[in-house]
Amino acid sequence: MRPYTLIAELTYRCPLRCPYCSNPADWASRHDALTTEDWCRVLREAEALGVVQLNLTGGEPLLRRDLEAIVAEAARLDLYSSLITSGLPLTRERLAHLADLGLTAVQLSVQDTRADSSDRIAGTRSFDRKMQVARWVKQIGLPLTLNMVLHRDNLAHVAEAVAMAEAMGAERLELANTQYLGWALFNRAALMPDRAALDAARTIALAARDRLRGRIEVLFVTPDYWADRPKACMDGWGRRSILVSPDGLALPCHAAHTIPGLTFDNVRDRPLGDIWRDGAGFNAFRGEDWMRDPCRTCDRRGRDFGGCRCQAYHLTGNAAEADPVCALSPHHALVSAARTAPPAPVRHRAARAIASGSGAPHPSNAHTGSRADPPASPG
Amino acid sequence: MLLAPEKGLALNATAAAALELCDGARSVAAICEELSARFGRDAAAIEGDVLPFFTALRDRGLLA
Repeated sequence: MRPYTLIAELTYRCPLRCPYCSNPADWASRHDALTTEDWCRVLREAEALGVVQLNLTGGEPLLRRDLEAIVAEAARLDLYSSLITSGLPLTRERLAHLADLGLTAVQLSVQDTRADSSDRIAGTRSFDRKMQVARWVKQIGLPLTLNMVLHRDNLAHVAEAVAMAEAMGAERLELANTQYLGWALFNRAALMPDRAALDAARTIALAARDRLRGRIEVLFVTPDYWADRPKACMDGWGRRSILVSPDGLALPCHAAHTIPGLTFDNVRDRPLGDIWRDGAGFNAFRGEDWMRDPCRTCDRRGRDFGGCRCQAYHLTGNAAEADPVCALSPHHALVSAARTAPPAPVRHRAARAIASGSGAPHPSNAHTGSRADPPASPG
Repeated sequence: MLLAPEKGLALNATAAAALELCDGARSVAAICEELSARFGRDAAAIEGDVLPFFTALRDRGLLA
């Protein structure tokens, strides 16, 4: 077993305040603990394990002033490096320099297809600058992926997103529905689309995928809350990817450290190869021994690996349960109730986690019976 | 291995050789002739394998 992808979350800081941010709710209490040399060493250790893909993400990776040194080390190691960015703060000169240093590709987010609503969702004026960044990416000659996270407020704009990707000359368009973890779980009732809107958006996206085949790769990721079988989350726990968080934890995914009771090692304390092979947290949900019914005997267990461990924990309180989006899960009613829960106002990502009892649209309440605690910090 | 955003494709030796010959100048026929000389297989048979491979790569945005 070898990892193929290293997801480097260089910082949790970000100029945007998207209400579906996947960063932990307590992001503001975690600090950028890794030095430039720590990151470069992590890249070397990852490459030695077999990693070929590097996702530079966050938060906003451009906020690290040593991004150049990290990109240069990735290029020296011949890693395929993707900058996953809001586009802020960036100048044409800095982007050109990153390309010269060997940055391989750019994934640029937009929050919607229109300036006013994109800025509203992002919580800050950013849309016009993003359009400028897209032009720079193409002028400099880097492959461009346009990312738009989908939810109730922008799902009707999928056709406009396709047109935007075509006009930009993007090579890829990623239309991924919100994954309801982190801030998105707090905002679930505000973000959850209804079935009709989802079906309409999917139809448009699939038609665009066929029409643009060979020119633009169009991806449409269905929200798993509206599926009846779970996703193969991360292609399985500790199977393909390693994520290193800004505070230095090596994790199987971006939310694994929100599951209490697991031990994750810090890359400052232990070589990445040891952590990958022997780390307690990485081994917690590898293979099938941890599974209980219905996963244990399910003929899909080798394909979906029981779904998302973090979702299982945050909805049922036990990370070893089947992902409750699965119709076979005894907790599936938590998900089906959330599909049609009454809409709630959006709360932007903030420095402080939204506390239950603050009047926030927290998903955990009496009528869903789901879990009340915000994501816990690791030990 | 052929790498693109969020994906990678492990190539066998023949596929890698075919792809390395895609330089923007050679035609598919010329690539198949070259592979035929290199691997000692009939060029027409090679073309039967190479064309669907190239089409699949183009459809996935991996070959222009």
